[in-house]
Amino acid sequence: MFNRNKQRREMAEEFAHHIEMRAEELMRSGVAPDEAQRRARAEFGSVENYKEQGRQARGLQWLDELWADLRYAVRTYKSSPGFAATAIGVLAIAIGANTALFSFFNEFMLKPLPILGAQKNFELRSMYLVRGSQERQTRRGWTRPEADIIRAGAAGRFDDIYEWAENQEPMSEPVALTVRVNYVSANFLKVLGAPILLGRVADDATPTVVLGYESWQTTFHGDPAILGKRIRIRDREFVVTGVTGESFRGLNPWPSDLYIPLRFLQGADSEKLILIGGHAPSAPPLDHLKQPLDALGKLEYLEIAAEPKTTHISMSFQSQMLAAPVFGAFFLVLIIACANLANLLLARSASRSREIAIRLSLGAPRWRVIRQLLTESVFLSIIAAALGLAFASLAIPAIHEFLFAIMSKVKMFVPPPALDWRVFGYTALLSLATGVIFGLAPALQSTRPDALKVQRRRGTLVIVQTAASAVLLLLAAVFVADARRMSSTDPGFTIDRMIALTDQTHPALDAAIKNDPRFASVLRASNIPLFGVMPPLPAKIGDRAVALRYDLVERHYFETLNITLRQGTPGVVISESTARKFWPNTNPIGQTFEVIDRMPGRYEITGVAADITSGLLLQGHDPTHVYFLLPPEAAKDARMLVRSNVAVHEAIDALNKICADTAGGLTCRPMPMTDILWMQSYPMVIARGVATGVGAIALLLTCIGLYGLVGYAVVQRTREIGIRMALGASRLAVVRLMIDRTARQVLIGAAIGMPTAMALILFAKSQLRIEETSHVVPFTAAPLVLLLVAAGSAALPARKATKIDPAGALRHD
Amino acid sequence: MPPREAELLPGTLDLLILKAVSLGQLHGYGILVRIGQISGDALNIEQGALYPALYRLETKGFLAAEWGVSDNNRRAKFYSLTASGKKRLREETAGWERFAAAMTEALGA
Repeated sequence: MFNRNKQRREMAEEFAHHIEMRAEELMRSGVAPDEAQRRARAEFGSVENYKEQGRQARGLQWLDELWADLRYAVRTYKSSPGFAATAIGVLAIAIGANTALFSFFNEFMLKPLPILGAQKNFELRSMYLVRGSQERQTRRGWTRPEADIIRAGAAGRFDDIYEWAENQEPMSEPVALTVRVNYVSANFLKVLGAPILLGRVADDATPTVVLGYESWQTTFHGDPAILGKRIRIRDREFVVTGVTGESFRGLNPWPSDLYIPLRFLQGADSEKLILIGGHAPSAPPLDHLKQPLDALGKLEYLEIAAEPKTTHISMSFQSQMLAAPVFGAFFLVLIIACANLANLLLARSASRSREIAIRLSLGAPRWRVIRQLLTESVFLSIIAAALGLAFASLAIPAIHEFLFAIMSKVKMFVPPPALDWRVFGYTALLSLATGVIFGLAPALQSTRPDALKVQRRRGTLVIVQTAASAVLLLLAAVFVADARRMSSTDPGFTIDRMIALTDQTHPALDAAIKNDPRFASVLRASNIPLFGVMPPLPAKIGDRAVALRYDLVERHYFETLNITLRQGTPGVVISESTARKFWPNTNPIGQTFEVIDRMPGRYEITGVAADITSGLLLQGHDPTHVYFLLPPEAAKDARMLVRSNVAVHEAIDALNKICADTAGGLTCRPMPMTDILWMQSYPMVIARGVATGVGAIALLLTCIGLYGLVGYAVVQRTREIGIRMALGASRLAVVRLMIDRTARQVLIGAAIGMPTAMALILFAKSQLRIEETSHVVPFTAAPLVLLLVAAGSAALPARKATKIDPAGALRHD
Repeated sequence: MPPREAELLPGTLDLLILKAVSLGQLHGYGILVRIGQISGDALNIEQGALYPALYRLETKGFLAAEWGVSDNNRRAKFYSLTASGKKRLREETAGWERFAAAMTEALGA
């Protein structure tokens, strides 16, 4: 500041010297002293103007002004701490919510994978047709024979090409524990730059294992003498040769416990899919692989592609489509906060109009005053951003736990996202943007010579924020209603005490389980209900080509799952919906249809079963369903369902034990049907949680905004209210006076927001093929809540107006 | 306003200042007088406008300034041309000459 004052002094001295010299010269040419002084000053022009220009020429002007504006802002806010605290609080909540959202987005979609060469990492995927069917499918895994062809044919097109597969395995020694194993090609750890903390990576000829850092720390307690020790998985022993560094987690977001050479991956070639990745400067063309892969005979390949795999979730069209509405909702919260603050500032600017008018009349340029007002609002938003960042860092662990509860249930511990420079940058950007957005309109408005339009603009802002809150509240309400409907949906069959073996079909298991008194029955079917559906079966009914959802099931399927047979007997059983759809008004028993693909032939219907939901609960019961009898030769590959006589957790332990004791040690991954049901509803639970959170924040912000707005109006119009009361206005009339306009604006906002939300919801549901249901409850509840809360937060401060003492109010300035 | 005085083309004030100072160290008023002399009083500027231009040139490093004592024994700030200022003056002069020649050509044609 010393420099600045010195500069100013010197400029003044220099200008004075100039004018004096000029005056002396004029006097020398005969002008009278007074006149000479006057003319010298006139010729020089405006000293203040040139001082200002001079300081700008030196390039430091803006800094001086910023400093002055900041000091002024601090002084202003000190004198109205309530306003500052409200504004900062409102904005901090909105910025905090957006920061938290972004940190998750950043972690999975922006942050490069923690591997070497993440930017040039690709993963090989295929699009194919199963021979004879017309349905395109995509896959990122490959069978062993396919992987061999690819490695031979594509190796030259990548700098490095590696293979891996992830599996959960039962470890029996040194401790009994289910472990997550990455089966990896010999070059995997080297290519991905895994730091080796202890030991080394052995070649893949012998059964060796490298421990992941976390498993070494937890399961093996960081044993420094771990190298050379043995680990038993199924019937094989692996020698520990190394431990990876902490920063390496493999390619999945959850850390891998063990790295074992890929050749020790067990299971039939057709079952175990291997992932193939590689490093290349750009995606190499791989079309030449189609022909040799087609020659394997099973599938018809349409496309083999190397897709960038630089982050956990790639920025594909689908993932963007999924992220867009979530970001949209959070941005709405930000818009509500901005509308709120702009409104409060507009209300305040009315009381600052005198101060601003004085500054303008003293000759301050309009942009200068605007800049000062913007500095004030950005100053607020920066403090709010810092606070929001603190909110976010506190909330992230809790949100993370909520989001990833299901992952930890299947033992995938994904670490919570960390705040990094991208997050800080995003928050900084938000704070600047919001500061300018909510500050600009009031700044422009209050520096206008005529402030008449202020009222109208404030009205628009109330409408905007109410409409945005209405949209968010309604979305939240619909999500809550859908989640409730889903949790109360009856799939149409018994799931209690039913357990699915999700990872094992070994034929020796049937007898082993049947012989155990803890289990009532064992059931084989082509598919586990609620656990995904098979591609529909192309068929012909008469001349009509149709696609039928189908299952191959054992005869006692209906009895075990408690699915009522309405007519007939097992054989070829169709669901009631199927019967209604294709054989309306006739008895379907004895009717026939022709299957074109997979199991071609003509089939005669033998029975009709009650409808069930075997796919997504949200999509409602199966539109078609045909149950064929499972041919005995196909039974050994079919899925297994077990009905237990004992409590579920006891049954799970028993099944694990039976599997481990059968055929040299099997993994079954038994899963209660109740968990499968829960897994299905999980995305809905998350959606409901997020929507409710966002909706609640929106409502809270709107309340604060309306409360502040009406409260301010009361203070501003104290004198008017006093006069009215002195003239005999009733209390009710005063309250109505204060909230009439706001109430109207809230109603308009709700009237705009509701149809918008409805359109959004209907569109989303049609896109997701979610069954249409009545939304009477959410569509009545949400607006009611909004209107009640709005009325409450407006009426509360309005009531204060009725407490005004008329005599005192008249003296009020 | 005398009819023979010309309005200053934008940007030419800097060139005139550099030219004036190139003939010797001067304070602000001196520069104004010198510009009047070398241009035959043909240019019309408000006197205060000189200073922002001076500060701009000083900030850019074309002029060096130091406080000294003027003819009438008062403290004054004196400006002189720096090495980069001399180079700038040569370039600007050459540029101006090309411009003036082109204009003369165009108007004479």
